[in-house]
Amino acid sequence: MDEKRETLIRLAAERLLFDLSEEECRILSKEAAELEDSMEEAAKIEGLDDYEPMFFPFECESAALREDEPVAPLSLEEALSNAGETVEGMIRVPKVVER
Amino acid sequence: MEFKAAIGLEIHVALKTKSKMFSAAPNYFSHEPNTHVTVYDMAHPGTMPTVNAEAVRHGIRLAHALHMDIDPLLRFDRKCYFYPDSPKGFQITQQFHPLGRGGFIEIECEDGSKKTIGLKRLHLEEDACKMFHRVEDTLLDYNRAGVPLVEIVSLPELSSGREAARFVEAIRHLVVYALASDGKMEDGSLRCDVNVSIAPRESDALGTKVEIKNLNSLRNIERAIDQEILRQSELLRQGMPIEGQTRRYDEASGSTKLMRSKAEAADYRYVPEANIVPIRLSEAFIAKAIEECPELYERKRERYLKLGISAKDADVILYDVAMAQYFDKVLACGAPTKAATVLFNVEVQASLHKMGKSIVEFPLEPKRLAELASLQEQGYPHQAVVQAFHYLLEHPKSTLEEAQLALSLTPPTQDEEGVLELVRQTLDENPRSIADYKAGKDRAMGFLVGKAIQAAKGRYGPSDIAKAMKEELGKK
Repeated sequence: MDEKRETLIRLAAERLLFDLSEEECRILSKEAAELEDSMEEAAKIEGLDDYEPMFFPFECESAALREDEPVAPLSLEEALSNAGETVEGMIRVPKVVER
Repeated sequence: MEFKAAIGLEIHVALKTKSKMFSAAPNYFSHEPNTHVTVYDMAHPGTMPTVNAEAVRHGIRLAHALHMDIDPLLRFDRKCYFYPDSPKGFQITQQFHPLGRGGFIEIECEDGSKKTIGLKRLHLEEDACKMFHRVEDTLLDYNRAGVPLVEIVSLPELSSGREAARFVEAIRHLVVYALASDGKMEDGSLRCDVNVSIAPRESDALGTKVEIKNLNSLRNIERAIDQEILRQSELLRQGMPIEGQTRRYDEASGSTKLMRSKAEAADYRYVPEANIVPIRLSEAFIAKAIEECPELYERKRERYLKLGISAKDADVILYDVAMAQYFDKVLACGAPTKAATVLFNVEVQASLHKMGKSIVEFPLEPKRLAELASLQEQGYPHQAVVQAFHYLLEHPKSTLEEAQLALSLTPPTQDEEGVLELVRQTLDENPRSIADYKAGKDRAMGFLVGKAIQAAKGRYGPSDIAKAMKEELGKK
């Protein structure tokens, strides 16, 4: 199970373009195992379906809003660094409309 | 068979903020593609959204102006879809808990009466990127990705293309005067989708809804809706069912074209946005946002009318929010309303047209225009004021006194005897006009006053001449 979990984590990291060390993979795998255990425990509680799902344990205050101050954007080179192909500063993708 | 139409609108308004909705990337137009983006806009893993306070303030102001109930708990959701215009694979919106609910807006009908249109909701969301479709491929510019949007959804209470266009115009006035948006349909900062359904006139039920997407002018909104009503009426008359569809308006043929049927509609799998914890807006935050809302279009128009400005003149001033702001500054400098209105709507507008400039580039300060308007009030002939106006336009750093000196404009004399003599002379030279006036032709008075003003050559004020003329004519 641990090996399968670690394989899944490596696959997710690769798809999300994360570099993941062996040590980081082990830590994440351990944390994922704990989460799985907790979910299994929670599933044993009777009548859970009678409750509305709660997505957030708390609320923030107005101060959590970001004031409207712009930051320096990425350079064009940085912005396009993950693009497979570019044309005149734009990202080129296969045609997505038929007209 | 007679049919009635039920039309509802969804209007997207791009908000005028300095930064984007969920990232601090700059939010202003750039000719250079992909230069106004941050790692969040490009959906780099691990980047998190932050909510723009100013966009929320704009949303609150608009919801308040539209008489909506404002939800103080700000919550966002994900609309999931896979398309290159959204690198994240979802759009952050407010599907389940919109910022504003209910409300209404009044529109003016053809006959001048008012009609109240109910509203469903107002919510905040982010724009998608701009796509350029070429023959072989599609090019992506993410500068627009993440631009703050407000979506306003009406109830299906509009009944014609004309009414729908008036509704959009009313919303445009609102967002422009709230300084929330440029509201330029031609630039895409105000975009409109419409839902049209028709049913037999005596029926209480609504017909099948057909959506027309991406209408980009008031004229196209009106035409597209009226054409769609005709298309659906024709189908029903032939005994054919109306299919739930998404259509687009084809300007060239003046008709709507099928884009997709509802059966092909995407399932957006809405889920609460996990990366933004609900934000409880304080009463003080909401109250301050509302309090700081500038004077809105309707209120400004009412104020102008109360000041004695004609509806026609008021509409000219209000055509552009920057013009109205300039005009208000002229009035705030103490300018007499009537003279200021004439100067602004005739001389300023003509000069702007000639210079090919907008009011924000106009070289004369509002204070200077107020001084010129006051000159007219002091009895200077209109022509002299216009001369001074043009002098100052060419020498914007000059003072009014310098303009008067350069043009040898002297204040009109208070020589009552002189005015009287001039008026009597004018009357002697125009006995026919006296007869016309006595026969009830009021225009004869205007003719005689004009003749006298002409003969005065700026020596006497027009109001003094008009007053003396009225008195002398009364004696005839």
